[in-house]
Formats: sequence, C-alpha cells, structure tokens
Amino acid sequence: MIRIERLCKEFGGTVVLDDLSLEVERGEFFAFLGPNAAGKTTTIRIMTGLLESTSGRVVIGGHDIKTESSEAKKIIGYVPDVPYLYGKLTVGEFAEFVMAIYGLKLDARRREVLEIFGLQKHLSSLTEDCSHGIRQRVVLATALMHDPDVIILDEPFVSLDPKTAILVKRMLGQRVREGATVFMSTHTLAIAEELADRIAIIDGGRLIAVGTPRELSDASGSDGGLEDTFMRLTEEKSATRLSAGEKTTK
Amino acid sequence: MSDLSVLFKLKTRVLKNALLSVKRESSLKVLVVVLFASVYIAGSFALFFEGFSFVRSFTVVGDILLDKLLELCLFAFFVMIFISSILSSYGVLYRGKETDFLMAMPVSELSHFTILFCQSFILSCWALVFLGVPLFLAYGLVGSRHLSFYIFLIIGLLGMAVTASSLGAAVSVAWARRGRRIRAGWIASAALSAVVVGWIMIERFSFGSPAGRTSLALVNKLLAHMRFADCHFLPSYWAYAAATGGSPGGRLFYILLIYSTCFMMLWVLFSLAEGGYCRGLARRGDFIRSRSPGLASRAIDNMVSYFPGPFDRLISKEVKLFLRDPAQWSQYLMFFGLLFVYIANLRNLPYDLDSIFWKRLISFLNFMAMALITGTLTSRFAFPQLSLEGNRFWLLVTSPLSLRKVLLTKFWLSFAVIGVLTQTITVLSSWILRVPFDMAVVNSIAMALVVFALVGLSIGLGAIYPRMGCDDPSVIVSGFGGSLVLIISTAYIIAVAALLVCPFYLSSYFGLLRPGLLLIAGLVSITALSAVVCLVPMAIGLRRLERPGRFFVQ
Repeated sequence: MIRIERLCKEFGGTVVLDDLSLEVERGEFFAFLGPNAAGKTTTIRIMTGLLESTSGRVVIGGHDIKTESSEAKKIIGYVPDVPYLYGKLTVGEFAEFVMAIYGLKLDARRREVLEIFGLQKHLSSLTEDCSHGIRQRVVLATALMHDPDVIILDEPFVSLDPKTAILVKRMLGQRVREGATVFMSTHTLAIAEELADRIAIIDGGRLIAVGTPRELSDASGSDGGLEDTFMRLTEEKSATRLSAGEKTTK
Repeated sequence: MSDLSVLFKLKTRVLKNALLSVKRESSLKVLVVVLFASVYIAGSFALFFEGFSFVRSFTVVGDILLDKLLELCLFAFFVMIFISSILSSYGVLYRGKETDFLMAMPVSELSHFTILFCQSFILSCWALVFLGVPLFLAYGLVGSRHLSFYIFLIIGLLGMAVTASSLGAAVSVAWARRGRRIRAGWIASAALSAVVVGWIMIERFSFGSPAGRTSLALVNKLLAHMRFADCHFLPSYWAYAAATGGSPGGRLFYILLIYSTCFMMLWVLFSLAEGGYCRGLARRGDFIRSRSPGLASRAIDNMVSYFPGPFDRLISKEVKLFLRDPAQWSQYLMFFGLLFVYIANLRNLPYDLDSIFWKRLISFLNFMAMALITGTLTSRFAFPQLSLEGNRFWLLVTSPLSLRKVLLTKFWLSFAVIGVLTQTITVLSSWILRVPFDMAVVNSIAMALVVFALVGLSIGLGAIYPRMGCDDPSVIVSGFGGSLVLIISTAYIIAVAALLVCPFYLSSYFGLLRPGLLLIAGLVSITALSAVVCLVPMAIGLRRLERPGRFFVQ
C-alpha cells in the first residue's frame, strides 16, 4: 500500500534522508520511530506531497505522489505534527469543508465520527475559540471522516487527554482491521509497541532497523521491551558515528 | 462542486464569520474604529479636494496640471500595487500557514493557486480603495467630471490593478520555482538600488537656480518631468485615457487594451503556476544552508555587552530577531522609501529665504511633517513589539526576569532607534531648508520629546491591547489598539505644534513679552504633556502585563 523507494532528501547540501526504502502492506499498522532530527517528519512530508524528494519515489496505493498526487491524496488521511485550522470557521463548518474537498457530504455516518470524538457540543464553536486538545481532536476526526485507505499520522498523541488517546488507539485499530493502512511517527514507544504490527527505526536519515517488535528485539539482542531495543539500536548508531568521527579527526 | 468553488465558499464563510465576530467586540472599540475610518476618509477627501482646487485655480495651466496629476496618481498606484503584490504574493503563496494544509488535500494545483492569488490580490489592492476613493471622488468633483468618468475609471482601475498584481505575483512565482528563498541581503540590495535610482531621478527633477523658479519655468519643468507617467505602454496611462478620453470609441479602445493585457498577464501567471507552484512549495528549504553566526551577529553582541544584564541579552534578541526576519523589512522599506522622497524633495522647495514669516512657516511645517512621520513610525513599529513576542511570551513570563524590565527594554530600544532616526532627519531637513539655528535647536528638542511620548504611548498601548496570536505587524496595527495609538498620536502632535506656534503668534500679533520666554513656557508645557502621554499608558500597560494569565495563548 505504501512503497518508499531509495528516498533521498538534501537541504542545502545537508543530507536529511539517505537512501530510505520501506514497504507497508494493506491492513498493516506501521510505526516509524527515531530520535529528534532523524528524518521522520521529512519522510512524512514527502509521503504527503508537501516536500519534493531529491531522489527516489513514494507510491501510495499504486499512485506516485509526485506524478499522480491528486489520486494519491484522495486516499490519504493526514494528521500533521502542527495542524492548521481556519480560526474563523466553526468545527461543523470545517468538517463540512474538508468533506466537500473530498467530494463528499457531511452525512449522518460521518457526523458519527465527530460524535465519537466528542465534538458534537463544539460544532458551532469557532475553532480559534477551542482548546488545543479539542483542535487536535477536530484534525483527527476530519482526517478519518472520508474513510482513507492510508492514514498518515505525525505525532498524533501529543496534547491528547488519556481518554481521547485511548479512543484514537481504538479507532485506528478498528480502521486497520477494516483494511486501512496506518503509518504513524511517534516518540511514545509504549504506544508503538502496543499498536504496531511492524516498526521502523530511523536515525540520521538512514533506516537502521525494521521488523516486528519481536524481530527488532532479537536483532538488537535485547531481552527487554521496545524501549531497550530502541536505546540499543540508536546508541549503536551514535557509537558508530562517534568512532567514525574520531577516526576522521585522527 | 469543483474544488475551486469549495474554496471560494470557504473564503466567503471565513469572511462572513470574521464580520459576525465583530459583534463580540465592545461597542466602544467598534465605534472608535468606525469613527476613525470615517474621519480618515472625510479628511483625505477634504485634503485632496483643496489640493485639486488650488491646482485648478491656476489660469490656463490649471486643467492641464490637474490631468497630469491624475496620470501621475494612476502611475503611482500601478507601481504601488506591483511592488505590494510581489511582497504579499510571496507571503501568501509560499509562507502562509494555509499552504501546507491545502497542499496535503486533494485540491488541484490551479485551484490552490487561484484562491491564494485572489487573497494576495485583495491584500495588495486594499490601499487603492482607501486612498483612491477620496482621491478620485475629489478629482471628479473639482474637474466637474460626468458619471461616465467614474464608470470608465472603475473599469479601467480594476483591469490595471489585476495586471499589476499578476505581474507582481509572476515575479514571486518565477523566483520561487527555483526553490530559493528571498534573502535579507537581496532585499537590502534591491532597496539600495531603488534609493540610487530614486536619487538620480530626483537630481534630474531639481529646479536649479532661483532664476529658473518663475511660474512658467516651474510649470514647464514640472510637466517635462511628469512625462514618464505619460508612457503610452503603461496600463496606468490606458486607465487614465479611458477615464478622461473624448470619444466613446477611444475610451472603449483603451478599456479593451487594458483587459487584453490583463488577460495576457493572467495567462502568463497561471502558465508559470501550473506545474510550478506546488513544485516551488515542495522545494522550500532545499537551499537553506546552516551558517555559523556571522560578523553582524558578533558585532551586535559586542555592542550590547556595554549594557547591564539582562538588558544586553534582551536587546541582542530584539535586534537579531529583526535582522533575521525579512518579512518585517517590507514595511520598513516602504516607509523609508517615502521618507527618502520627502527629504530629497525638500531641496526643491522654492521659498523666500529672507522672509521671517516663510522661515517660521517652513520650519513648523517641517516639524509637523517630522512629527507625523514619527507618529507613523512608532505606531507601525513600536506598537506591535509586544504582540510580536506571540506564543514565545511564556518564556519571558515564566522567567525570573521582571516584566517591567522587558517593557522598559522595548521602550528604550525603540526610543534609541527611532530617536536617532528622527533626530538625523530633523537636523538634515533643517539644514536643507536653511532653518535658523535657534529654531532648529527648538525643533530638535521638541522632536526628542515627541519621540519620548509617542514611543511610550505605543509600547504602553501595545501592552494594554496585545494581539498575541498574530505574527504580522501590519495586522497587529490594524486592530483597535493600533487605531487608538494613531488617534491619540495625531491629537498629541496637533497639541505640540500649537504649543510651539503659539509663542510666535502671540508675540507677533499682540506684542506680548519676548518670544524667547514664551517659547520656554511652550517647551515646558510640551514636556509636561509628553510625560503624561508617555507615562500613563506605560503604567497601565505594565499593570495589565503583570496580571496573571493575561498572555496565555492557546
């Protein structure tokens, strides 16, 4: 469902993504982990067409994001790390607008999604008057309302209260069972461990490990949870970089 | 429904909700803004009407000059919209927060571009409406124009505005297609080039020796130098010809010429945008290079090191943030461009240097002009200072630093920068106008007091009426607080000018006391008035600033 082929991205000569290749199957919950500045958000921004890769390509549901962007975007539901909402639209109007963009109506079934996210009583409030948490719920609900085949989430659990976080986890689990593909970047390792079928760890723009939580733990020789695996894999990378740097200095 | 119509519906709804939300504002706020807008439009209409009437009163050449003035105004509007469109289109199309949202949606590239171009067009043209309505109405009334003048003018202006705006947006798109950002150095180079070109033009415009200042020579020279606006290839000339032309056929020809050019420009713009707009967006940042702090940064740090802590760090932050944000520069560029034109043209002002009446009049008029410029400068640049902290304000609020120090740093920094600027301009203009030394000293003292008062007023009201969620200084200023600063500043400047003029008026017409004593009394009154205008808003602003939770932004 998602195919990332030899993706490279440079910003003014600085390599941010280096030959990244990944494949995510239909109905798979895929977690994308990495320390800060590892290249997670850049990868997601290229996957959603917000950035152009220096080389390589991304194919979503059979559509190249660069050449068939409109077709690809129609099947994506995207939750960015810093979401944008029109402050002078009410929650209801915003949902209606997003549906209209996808050529859909805000019918009873889609209103149900708003209800599930507890947004019913906020429908006539301007989004600029809503709290950060409510705005995050609006973004999540509108990203799911058009039943996307591919759900891409960049740090979706930041600023959600525990109740909404549980709700989102359940919603995403249900969507995956119905055949949707979820690609989620997160720093919350416990959530990744709990939800993901497979996990990829990226550091310094390079993929350092990919597999099921079990496979990752075996590969790293860790006998603990994902936290231990993550620390081992990323520390190994840092140590390699450090020794390479020492050699260069010498 | 096509995605473009969905986007238009969205923008209409946003506008409708924005207008409805005015209801939530206090009646006093709305009343002050409406009153100020009405006074502004009525005042500028009166000013233009008087000016045009004066020009028309010249026998034989009155009508010719009036027509030339219209031609010149249309040319100025054309250039203004073009420059404004480059800046606003780059901001809206490439730096706006909305672009990423629309780009992630299945919206076609052209629909995405069209809706944002329309937004940029409105932003670059709104001044035409505010300035143009009183100007063209006054022109039409003074020139006894028929209804057809207004109809053809409106149609012509619309075409001209779209042409200029498309041209400006095309420059932005062509630039952004290369994936490069507009850098501060390039803006500075462009500004420097504009100053050099402007200076050369003004040099050419010089009236020369007093012998060449006879009415006829003056008019001839004026007309000769206005000829650049007469270029028959300019859309502004076509709009002028369509509005004032004789036969209906001739007028229609110019309208068709404007609109054929307008559609061609739109075609060029949309051809550039198709396949290039989203690519330009997706390549943002490709050319960003991380650089170590340069010479300028080290120079700032060295300079501020003489200030006691934490003022040194606060000043360094303010200066660096400004220097690294070219978005704020556009306002300064326009402002200093106008100031440059004012100063450069002073040299051409012909008046009788031997008459004390003229000397005083010119000196006071210059003071008034300088004070009004200072008023604009403080309301545009000092007032938004606190609001520009925006969502970062938590850092200062939660730090052990007292908010009094933050406010005082902003006050003294603005006072120093604006003070140096205005004193330079005051001294320079007094020298160019050959104002007597004693009057120049009085003007300089009074100007220092005016800067003190207006900076305090702007910073104080900026703390009383902040707009923390907004990072655009022009939007921050356009609110209630900004309007209030302008109103109080204008009233204060009028009062100061009256206190300066009164001593001379009283001594000349009533022979009361010596003007020197009266002048000292005037300066003491100005000092007292300035202290009130500065300290009261600063004190209230500080009290509001220290109110817990006041600056919490969701």
